[in-house]
Amino acid sequence: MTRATRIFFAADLHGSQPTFRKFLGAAAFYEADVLVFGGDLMGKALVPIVRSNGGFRAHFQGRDHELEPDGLDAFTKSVELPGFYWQVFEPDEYEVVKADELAQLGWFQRLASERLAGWLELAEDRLAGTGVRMYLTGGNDDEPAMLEVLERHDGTNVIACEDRVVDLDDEHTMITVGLSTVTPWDTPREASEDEIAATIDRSVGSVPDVGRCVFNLHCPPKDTPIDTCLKLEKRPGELPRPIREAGRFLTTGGGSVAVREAVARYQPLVALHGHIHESMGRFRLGRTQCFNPGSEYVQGTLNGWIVALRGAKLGGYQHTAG
Amino acid sequence: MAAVGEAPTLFLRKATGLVKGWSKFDAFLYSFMSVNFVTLGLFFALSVLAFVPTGQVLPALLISGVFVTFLVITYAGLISVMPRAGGDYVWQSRVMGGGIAFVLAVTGWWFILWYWAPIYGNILNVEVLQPLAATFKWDGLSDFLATDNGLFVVILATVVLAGYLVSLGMEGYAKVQKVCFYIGMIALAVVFIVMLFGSRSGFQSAFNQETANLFGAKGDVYQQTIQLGTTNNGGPVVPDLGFSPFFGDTLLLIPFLCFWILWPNWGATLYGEVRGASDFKRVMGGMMYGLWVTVAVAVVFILLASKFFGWEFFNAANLNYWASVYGFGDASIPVWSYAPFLASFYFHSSLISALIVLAFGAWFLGWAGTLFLSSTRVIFAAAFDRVLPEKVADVSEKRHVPVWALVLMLVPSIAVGALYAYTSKFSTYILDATLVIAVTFFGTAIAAMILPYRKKSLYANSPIARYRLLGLPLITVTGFITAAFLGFNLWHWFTNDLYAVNNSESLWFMGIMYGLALIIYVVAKIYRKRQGIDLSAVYKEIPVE
Repeated sequence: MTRATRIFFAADLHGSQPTFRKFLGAAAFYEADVLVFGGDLMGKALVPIVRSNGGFRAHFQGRDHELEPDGLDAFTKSVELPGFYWQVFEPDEYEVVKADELAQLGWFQRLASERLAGWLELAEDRLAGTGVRMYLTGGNDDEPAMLEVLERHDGTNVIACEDRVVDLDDEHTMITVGLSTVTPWDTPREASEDEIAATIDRSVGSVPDVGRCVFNLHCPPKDTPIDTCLKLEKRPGELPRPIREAGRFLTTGGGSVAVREAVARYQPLVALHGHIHESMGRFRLGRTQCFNPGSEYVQGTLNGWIVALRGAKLGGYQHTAG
Repeated sequence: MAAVGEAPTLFLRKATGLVKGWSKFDAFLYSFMSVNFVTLGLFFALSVLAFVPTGQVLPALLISGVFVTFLVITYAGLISVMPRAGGDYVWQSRVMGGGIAFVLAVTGWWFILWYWAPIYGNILNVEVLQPLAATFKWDGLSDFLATDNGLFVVILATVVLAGYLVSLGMEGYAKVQKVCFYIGMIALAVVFIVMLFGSRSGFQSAFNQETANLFGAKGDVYQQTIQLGTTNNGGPVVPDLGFSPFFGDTLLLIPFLCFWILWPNWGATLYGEVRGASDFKRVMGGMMYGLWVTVAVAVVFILLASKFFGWEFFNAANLNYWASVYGFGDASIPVWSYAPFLASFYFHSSLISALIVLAFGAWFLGWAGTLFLSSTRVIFAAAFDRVLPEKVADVSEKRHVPVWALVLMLVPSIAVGALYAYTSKFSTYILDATLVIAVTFFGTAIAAMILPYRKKSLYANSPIARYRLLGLPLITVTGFITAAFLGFNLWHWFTNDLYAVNNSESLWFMGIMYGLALIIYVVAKIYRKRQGIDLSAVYKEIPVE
């Protein structure tokens, strides 16, 4: 019997430093041959640290922090755990950025790109000589600048896989689409169902054997146990708000019809998804097992699925949270 | 340099997941319906006070409430650190390892819940069906419900009802629970008003008239009930209601009260499906209100029962019921002295009695789904970790119900229900149902104690890391107190004949469950190893290098 190819799959790390390092270490820890990341690399918030009276002031985790200079290092490490970015500002500079959303976006892109570039460098260093490859893509939450960092990267072990057909081993291929359907947050890489369907179809057209192909699609199939999330309403100038009915929060399927139809139609060997953090699990569509590892990056926990591919069959699978 | 007038604010970008969270009321409702005053409280806790004729219920209740508060804090802490479907199993497995977690969790949340099915069925029988049959003088039905066959049929109906409620899914059942909450509270308020403004002499008269009307009883049945209680107990039934002794024999009531008051955390296994579950204060607040509103309702009831029924009568009537069930004495009426049913006698109207009994049935309906709902999530979590077959982790597409996990609850509980209905000894192991779960909670309390030291990173990055007491992590302190409280109860259950669970048959029953759990885990470990799956890898944390 041929040895199975073991994939370790995770998604939605959102800038979390320790969680990415765990992802990197997962290859050795779980004896995986391939690391696959399903999108959403970029963090969600930036903590401005403002100089004040020889020290620093910041607001983080719902509290104000007064920092001495020697406390800055420990503080920034705690900021990086849930994937937040940080930047030291002079008071007047802070006021300018605070009033300018475009300037804030600029800082986000710059800091996120720097962090990602650092991750790529670290990954190349750690994976050198191991034979393990890491496939990375962006999700709907990632600015195009993140994909550009991935595309620019020229290494041997870390491979950008968005919108490409890549070889996982001698017999298995993988397609990757990081787009999602429209969300209440108006995130950077959203698309219509038709666009998602067309993107998947285009990639599948280059796959030699779909029965031995892995679909790495950030958005899970619509209306399945792995796409359930709160139903939200948008209000101008506010964060989306959950909708309550008779005192209960309503839920909905946050997945994609196009993804569901593509998986049902093409029946790939395995489908890997992310996007909906709270809906970790698996679900079978026809003969294809679809996996969502969920995400708990905020607490530095790496959720993942170990998936073993043996020929045209799924050899085994196991959820992990470590 | 410009001055910063206020602390810098966070810059947020457009990204998914940034929403407002779960309501405290939702958590309260789960908790309140689990620490169910009417079902478990009236039938299994406040009805057995005469078994400790020198104990005082009010201090016992308050002491229990205080200690269960620490259990609530401990569980809220664990939920906020690891909000996963499976609760105790997940926490114990991640902190102490898979073997001990599986054995403790599946015995406490799976196997022993088979035994809870007949207990639920029995409550449906004595709180809804038998009072209704008596009210309408359906003698044939009353006689049938009092037989072994009648009890078994009710248990079957309860299992089917609980299975149906679970099949509605979390959201569907929550809607049912909410409607039941409002109906049940209105019914409770009506009965409390009757007890507050009605006189004891009026009740005595109504009781004598209605028992004569419904059951053909003769004479002053009220006084006969008290005399019978004294005979059945071989002396005074209970002391006058008060606070002395505050400790002493009063503490012996606590292991009885735990059958009811220990469950504000019953929904803990479900929090993986609850949005905003990592909000420590919110989760804790919900369970805390569930506990203390229940304690407050119970205190009000006890005071009103003392005023309206008379404390001695209330306890004598309850004692007489158990005496007739377990064959050590007689009862003055052929049904359990269900307090809302007795209070309804005040109206001298069959229709009003029936309406009150039916409205109180909402307390049962809002609680019935908890029989299997939490259990299915533990089974699901174990299957998700591949300890149980993967089929068991399958969930339905529409309502996300773990169907096979539900089947594993339903089918054995019918067999256990038959044993309960048709054998005399099996139904006396009632406190096994609490003991085995208390052992599971004990394991979780130990896991909570050591969590900050065994899972440093996870704890340090959790919402509870900031809370410390006596220089120690809060969860370590509350875990220790919870373990001590559970240890006190376990010691009494195992050593004191009063609780009827330390006999050899009961111990064998529990031992078989633990043995079965251990065998399943060992077989799974070996089987998965052959498949190339290392079960222990599931529980380990990847080091950050």
